[in-house]
Amino acid sequence: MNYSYFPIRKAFAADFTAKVTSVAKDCAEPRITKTVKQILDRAMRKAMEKSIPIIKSEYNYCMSLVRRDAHRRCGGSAWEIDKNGWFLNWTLITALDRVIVRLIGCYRVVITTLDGVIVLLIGWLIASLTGGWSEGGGRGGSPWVVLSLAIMSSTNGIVVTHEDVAAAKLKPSMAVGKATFSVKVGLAQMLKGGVIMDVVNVEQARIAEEAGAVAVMALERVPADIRRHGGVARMSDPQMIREIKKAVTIPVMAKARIGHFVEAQILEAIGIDYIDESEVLTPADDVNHINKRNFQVPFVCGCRNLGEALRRIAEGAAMIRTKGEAGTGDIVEAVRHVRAVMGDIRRLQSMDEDELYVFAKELRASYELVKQTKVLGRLPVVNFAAGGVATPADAALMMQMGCDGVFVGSGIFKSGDPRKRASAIVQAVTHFDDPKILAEVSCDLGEAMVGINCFDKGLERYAARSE
Amino acid sequence: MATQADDWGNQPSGGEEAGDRHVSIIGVLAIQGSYREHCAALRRCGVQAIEVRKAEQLTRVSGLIIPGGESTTMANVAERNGLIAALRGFAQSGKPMWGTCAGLIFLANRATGQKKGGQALLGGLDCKVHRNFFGSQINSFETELPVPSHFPAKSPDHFRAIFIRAPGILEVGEGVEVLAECPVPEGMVVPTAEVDEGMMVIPTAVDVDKDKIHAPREPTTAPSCGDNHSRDKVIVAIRQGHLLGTAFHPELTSDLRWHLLFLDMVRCSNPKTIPMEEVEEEGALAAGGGGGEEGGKKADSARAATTTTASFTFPSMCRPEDLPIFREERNMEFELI
Repeated sequence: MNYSYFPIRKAFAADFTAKVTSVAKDCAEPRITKTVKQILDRAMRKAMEKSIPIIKSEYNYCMSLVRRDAHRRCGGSAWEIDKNGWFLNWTLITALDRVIVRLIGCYRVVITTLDGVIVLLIGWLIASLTGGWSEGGGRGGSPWVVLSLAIMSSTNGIVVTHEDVAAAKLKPSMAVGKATFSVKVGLAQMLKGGVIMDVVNVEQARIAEEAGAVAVMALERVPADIRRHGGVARMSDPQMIREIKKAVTIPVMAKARIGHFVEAQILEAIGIDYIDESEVLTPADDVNHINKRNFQVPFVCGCRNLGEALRRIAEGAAMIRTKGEAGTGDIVEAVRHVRAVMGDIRRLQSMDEDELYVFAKELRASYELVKQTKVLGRLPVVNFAAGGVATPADAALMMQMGCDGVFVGSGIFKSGDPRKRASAIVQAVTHFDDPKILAEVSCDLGEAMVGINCFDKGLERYAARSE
Repeated sequence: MATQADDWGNQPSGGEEAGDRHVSIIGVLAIQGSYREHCAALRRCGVQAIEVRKAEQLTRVSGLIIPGGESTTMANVAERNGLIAALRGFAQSGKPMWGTCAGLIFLANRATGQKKGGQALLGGLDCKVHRNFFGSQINSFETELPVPSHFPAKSPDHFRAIFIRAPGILEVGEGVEVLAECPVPEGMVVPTAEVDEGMMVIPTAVDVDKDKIHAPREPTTAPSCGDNHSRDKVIVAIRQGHLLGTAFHPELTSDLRWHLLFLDMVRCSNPKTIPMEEVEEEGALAAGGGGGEEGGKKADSARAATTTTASFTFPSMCRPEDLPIFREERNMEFELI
């Protein structure tokens, strides 16, 4: 590196700052301006004090910020950059800039060393031979252009950035994103504050819809019956699920066995809205879960603690529920699991950043997700309660403890008056923090489901079937 | 103030002088669905948001958002609590209402593709909505759509629209302003306007009191939108008077411009309420999201500190903060605002 180019760099930095500021003002994004400014200030100070060149990695970091900013504003699609290999708008500020800008159209390049100019000219030569430059228009070009520019920028202190926002705006990406994570989580967000009910046939599905369920879970036997009859519990008959789907307009979910990705493929094929990879069914794989990122359809998974929840999210689950102890009508396990998750999150929030690595190890979860959870103060996806909810009070309890909604399995259709109970639980979830309304809706519901005490010895623990 | 109003395409009504500036309260119908997301977005805009569950809470608010969710559930619970009448009264009082997705169905005069027996609608928007127009969850998608002309000129000219089992607007009557249209995804079997199974028609706003049900009107071809029936595009956002309806979910994105548009409608209907310039200072027009440097809570509290003229009292909840807004689906990065 030649120190004599320092004045150019200084001029560049000032100019660059001004440009970033104006661009950022244009898109009214104060935070990114601040970050870029801070980095540039620091770089400038270093350069001034020690009279060393501005460190390239810092340039690159600035560049990545600006590029991120740029792609967001030109349509927000990350593919924009990936497909073209580069975001092709360039800034040039040396004495040569006007000339080169004329030569290469709207691309602009920042050159910090003399070598850079030479390589740029070589790159331009290659590109013009391959016909890349002539395309112009602010994007595209042949792979040679991309390659030569990439080589230049990586080796010669050339800083690339975008400037021409208007050009970028001309061709916004209109690509349709299906089954993106936000779309998957989105449906769960629409279910928040609602009740999802287990149903085994069309009549029950209609009752659930009438009562105000946000979704129904179609299955062959409710958990209480699975418990009673024993044997292997599998995915339901697709025909039955189809019929239920036809009968109601609300989303229909269905259960697949843990690790049984072919059952999940079948459910996806019949157009189910959400798949529950459920421990209530007999697990098909006692070690691995389904790789839920391979699917277009979103998944909900059970958890007993924070680590388990984050492992499922890492596998691609877009919604989490507590496991509870399904089919018992005893809320104690669900409470235990919600307490465990929420307690861990509270501990996490009071932790020092340095302690997160070890905590992630203890949770056996990815550090990134642990960190996200700490920043958010909650699970990064929708979190429902499930397993043992039998009364409106149970449902409101789960809501007050911080869940986003409630699954009710056997609690409704194993009770005396399913219609009434279903609608009471729906009301209770909406008015979870109003004891007067809770008292009203809890009246005269008839017989609740027969419960199984979770402290009974010999009770098979479904929740412990996977982790 | 005045130029801001022009930017948003609304006529500034009288009383724009900076006099007593009350912080108005926007209500979000909190029966079910994405109400907390809406509240979070409103707070980011610098106004106070409350969750509305009971009829008496409606008197406190100067505008109401009906969030996304399951419209059948919302109608069901609202009906049982006697909220429907209160909501109809609210709509008739001329206070602005905005329905996203399920809320749009709620506000529509006519809806098809409903559950057997239909569901209660509030009505007011002269349009025909088809529930789950785009199909089930597997057909849900997100895309970028061009912004309506009312959005500030300096902001990006596209916005991110997330459609989740979304409805589509099949027909609009005269006097309905079409704000956005979405290209129909290729290969989709398009539900037609003629499918009237489970169709629910609600009386027009004038006749609400009489509570009588009209026969479905003949589809009116509005001159403003001639390709009303062409099905390579479907209408996804409309405005009529003080009512706004969107089939997508602005509350699931970091783009606050739809919320600001609604706040502007509230401001125009009740000029002395919302301090708009503070919103501008916040730079809230950005469609993009944050650099993820600051924690959401920190940003929230900072905003609350800068924007209040009166002290805000957010509902104290033992419930945790709200969900992130996702952008990069591959590694599930999220933005905090």
